[in-house]
Amino acid sequence: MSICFDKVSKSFGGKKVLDQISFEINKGEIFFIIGKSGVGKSVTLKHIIGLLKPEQGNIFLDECCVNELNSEELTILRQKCGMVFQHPALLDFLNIKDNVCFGIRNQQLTAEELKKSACAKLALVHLNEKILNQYPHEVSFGMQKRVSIARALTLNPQYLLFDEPTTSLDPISKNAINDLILELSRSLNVTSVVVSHDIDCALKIADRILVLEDGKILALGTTTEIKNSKNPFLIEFLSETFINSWDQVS
Amino acid sequence: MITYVKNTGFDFLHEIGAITSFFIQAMRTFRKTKDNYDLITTQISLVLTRSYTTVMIAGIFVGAILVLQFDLMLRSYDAQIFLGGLNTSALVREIGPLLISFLLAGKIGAYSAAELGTMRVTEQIDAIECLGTNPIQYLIVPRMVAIMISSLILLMFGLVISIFSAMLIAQVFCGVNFLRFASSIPRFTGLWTISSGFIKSLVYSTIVASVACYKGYTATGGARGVGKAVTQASVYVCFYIVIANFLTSYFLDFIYEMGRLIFGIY
Ligand SMILES: Nc1ncnc2c1ncn2[C@@H]1O[C@H](COP(=O)(O)OP(=O)(O)OP(=O)(O)O)[C@@H](O)[C@H]1O
Ligand SMILES: [Mg+2]
Repeated sequence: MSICFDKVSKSFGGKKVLDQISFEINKGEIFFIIGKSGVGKSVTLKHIIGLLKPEQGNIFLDECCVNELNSEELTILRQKCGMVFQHPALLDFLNIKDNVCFGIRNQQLTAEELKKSACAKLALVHLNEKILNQYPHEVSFGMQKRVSIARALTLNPQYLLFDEPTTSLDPISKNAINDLILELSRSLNVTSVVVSHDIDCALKIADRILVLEDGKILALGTTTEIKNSKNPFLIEFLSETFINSWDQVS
Repeated sequence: MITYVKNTGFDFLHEIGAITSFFIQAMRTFRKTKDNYDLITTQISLVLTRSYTTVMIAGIFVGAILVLQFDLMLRSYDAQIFLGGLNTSALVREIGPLLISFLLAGKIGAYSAAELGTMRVTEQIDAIECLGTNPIQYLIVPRMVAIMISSLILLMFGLVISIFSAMLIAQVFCGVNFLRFASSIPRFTGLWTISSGFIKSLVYSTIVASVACYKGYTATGGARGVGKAVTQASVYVCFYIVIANFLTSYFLDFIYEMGRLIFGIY
């Protein structure tokens, strides 16, 4: 067990978003969180890294209670984690290279080494080194998104938290990112938590899937369990999403 | 009505408390690192390049306006020999620090609030946090320190310019030549006057920096939130500066009097 939610509740202005949620994520696992828009997937992800504090319950990361850490301890903890935000959240006053290297900028590396490591990370997300000196607003949204994935990888984290990493990407980049997640998990034992609307790819690469609905856990299980579930809501949800993803393709 | 007044009063105190603790928090994370040194110097150069033209133009005209006004009054008492002294003293003590801080609030304060607010609502600040960097140390401290240091540089620069422009106007329009103007300056403008001007400027720029950074850093709710943060930053700053002006003037006079009583200095 490496990440653990223990009866976590969170509400915004009287609106309950998470209601007594409990689940565990194992080390090296690829864990998908799916659910309708606005159900609280991003909120769940932000709790893991301490950007949001729960009203009730606790979140543990490597036996550390995240919600009880002070800001210095959180900073240390976060160096083990890489977070990809739903919106790219690149620092717009830095160029792509400095953005990718932000996490390692104080590690006494030469400019050459920094550039090399930036190129290596960009290559992982199928980006060309031509954009190194451009600014975030000069590249497309999909590229920004991929730069933000590259940025999350620079510290070689043990935990990767992805918030919709493949939305608004072309199929080739999408496959590259999915392969990357799979590869990192299998070869380096990185734990990945992925929020996604892409059911196909969830069923393809996930070890386990969590389905959220109305602030509660609708289903939690391995891909086969989810696929073969008899839960009417889940069947409806899966078929709806399949139809939706078909709509997008055709 | 009474509850309204009470609530606004509480909100006001609450806000002042929040801004003060934000300032203290920022200063506590201040570390002397090379990274920080680079960030501060970049910020200082940004602040200076953005505001020196405004300070220059304002300095020229304020010096000119003040000398015309003083001349009008002094002439009727036949006391034009005091023109240079009074003019310089008013500039150094009051007008200079006040004007610099208002200009900084409008130009740099609003800019910083907008920039930080946008970074907050687009999750850039969260991203910095997630990459193991303290955003207060990386974003806030350099901006605050830069605003404070630049205000002193700008004050010096603005004062020199406005005194020269005053001299020129006195020569051309008031018939007070350079020598007569300059000779009365030391009578009114001693070391204490100059240092009190700089102390005031430091206090006001600290207010500008803290309020602007606080408002930007705590912005919420998309573009509307950023707009609100910017408006509040520029309006509240002016308000706080006026209050601080009264308090610092009173306090500095008090110290001056005490010093005079105890040490007998003039
Ligand atoms: N900072 C906030 N302030 C107020 N309400 C919020 C805030 N963040 C999230 N919410 C609320 O929490 C709910 C869940 O938001 P969240 O961003 O987690 O949705 P999501 O599942 O990620 O949806 P999507 O798939 O569209 O990204 C939303 O209904 C939103 O109203
Ligand atoms: Mg989301």
